[in-house]
Amino acid sequence: MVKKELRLVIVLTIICVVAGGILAWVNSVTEPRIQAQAELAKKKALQESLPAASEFRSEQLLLEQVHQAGNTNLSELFIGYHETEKRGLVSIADVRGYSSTIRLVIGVSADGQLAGVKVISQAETPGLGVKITERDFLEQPALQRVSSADQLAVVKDGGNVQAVTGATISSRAVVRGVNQALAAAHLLLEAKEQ
Amino acid sequence: MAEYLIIIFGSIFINNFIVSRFLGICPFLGVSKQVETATGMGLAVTFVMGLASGLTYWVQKLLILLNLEFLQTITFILVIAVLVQFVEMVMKKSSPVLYRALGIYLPLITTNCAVLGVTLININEGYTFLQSVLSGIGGALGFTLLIILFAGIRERMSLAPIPRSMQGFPIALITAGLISIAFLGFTGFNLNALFNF
Amino acid sequence: MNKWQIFKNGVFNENPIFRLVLGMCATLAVSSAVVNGLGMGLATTVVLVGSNMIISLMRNVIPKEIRIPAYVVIIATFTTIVDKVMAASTPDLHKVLGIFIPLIVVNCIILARAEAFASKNTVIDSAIDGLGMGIGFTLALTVLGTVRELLGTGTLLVAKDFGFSGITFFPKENGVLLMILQPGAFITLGLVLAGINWWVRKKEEKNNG
Repeated sequence: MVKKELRLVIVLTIICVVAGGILAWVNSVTEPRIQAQAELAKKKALQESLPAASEFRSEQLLLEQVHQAGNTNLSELFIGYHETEKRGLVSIADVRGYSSTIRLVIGVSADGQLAGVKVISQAETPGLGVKITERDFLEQPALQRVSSADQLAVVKDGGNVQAVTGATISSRAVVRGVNQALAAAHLLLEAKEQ
Repeated sequence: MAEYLIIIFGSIFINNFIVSRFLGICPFLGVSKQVETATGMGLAVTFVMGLASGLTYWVQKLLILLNLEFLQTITFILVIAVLVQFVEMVMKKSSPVLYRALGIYLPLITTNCAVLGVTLININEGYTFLQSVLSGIGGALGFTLLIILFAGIRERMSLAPIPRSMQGFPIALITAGLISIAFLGFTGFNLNALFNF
Repeated sequence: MNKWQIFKNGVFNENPIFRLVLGMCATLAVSSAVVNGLGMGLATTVVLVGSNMIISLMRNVIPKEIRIPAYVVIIATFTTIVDKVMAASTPDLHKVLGIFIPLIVVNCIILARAEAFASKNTVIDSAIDGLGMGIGFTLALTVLGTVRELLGTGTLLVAKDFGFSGITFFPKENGVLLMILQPGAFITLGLVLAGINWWVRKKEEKNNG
């Protein structure tokens, strides 16, 4: 009886060990590619939000200053270069939307103008909140010609950004992310002037 | 406090497991012919989902520590299977009354995707231990609410003259669709404003 | 049963979604667009064929008492492989399908085929059974995806991973939003099932004279 139970344990252990081994191998093959894909997707998003730049370098020190100034939704900052010339600042912001965390990429050019806003990932309500990813919202007039000294707000909060109908919370989240990115760029520009 | 209330109410009404996340549909369609069995199933699921959420929180910590995150799916499903077995054994010994009420539903729970689903959602959302447990219990309560509501409708429906081709699954799915439309009304409900008094 | 019959059985007579009504969670969740349905269907097919083959191969080695945990480990291994490969090759689709890829583990079809077929038949027959069931699942998901995507968005076959923006039939504003929302999943599946029930009954009545 004991012998039989021992056999059961041994068989199951062997199956688990073999399965673990195979998965470890699969993981070692796919993990670098998954990382590379994520890198590529990020690079593309950075590029799209600041078309003037061709190379992006992560800014850790500035990120700490920006966090201290209260812009805690920004998770990464990059300065975009073309050859050796600084072309602007790109921020990645994670803001809480209605039913998900919305990840945004916001580019501000070197003269302090908002250059582009892209949504990289979100899981907002289909048909309503999802519309924050569309050009009708992200490229509306109120999001053009914005300078880093400005603070945006949706119409309901007294600003002039048209929120997506039925998705004020999602729209507000995007505006919050953009505002923090503008503040970060403002901080950088001010530091340069001094 | 507010954030915990938001997690619980959110997973009962807004991100309801059945009508919004599509998790646990099999028991929802299978064990919903009578209110009594539906209640039993719901309670058993609530118990297991709360425990599984708490347990997998620490399992995930361990996997990260050992750098074995790629074993997540396989460990989680095994943890859930062992947990269900364990709950069954303990219940049988310590509380025969409870065992008689819930025991027959327990083996079905291992393959209930709501249990594995909630543990994966907790990890994706980056919940803390307490948040995970509450999301598990809240999700299961949403499941229970739906399965009891649905069983009530189906008890009445068994008396209705339904066209032959629509009997069984088709009419059940369409009924679920109508409940789902009703639950869409909760979308846009601003829980933040409600609980941040 | 010959090989063709085994295959046909999975696709038509015992179609996992339309006839056996199994694996409902994934079906309802990912059938909002054709490509999502196709992706999920193919991922499930790979897991079905793989786990059916290995389980059939090991059917004399695995003791009866521990067969269920052993099956679950084998299925979970294949699921993780598919999950990782999809994350590396089709990241956008992987993101859309989300937790429903790891949830292939608890898809009742796979464990049901392991228990009912692979544990009793040869490797080749089990592989064909897995393939038939997988194709049947994919076919059903594609049918549902076609109805919902077309009526909901007016477009078919939007595939971000392959840079294909789909075939537009009518403008998006005229789409029935409800079809791609959750109620659309329940109602479409309910109506399609009713239609199939009706068709099967007609056929049987005809055969019985």
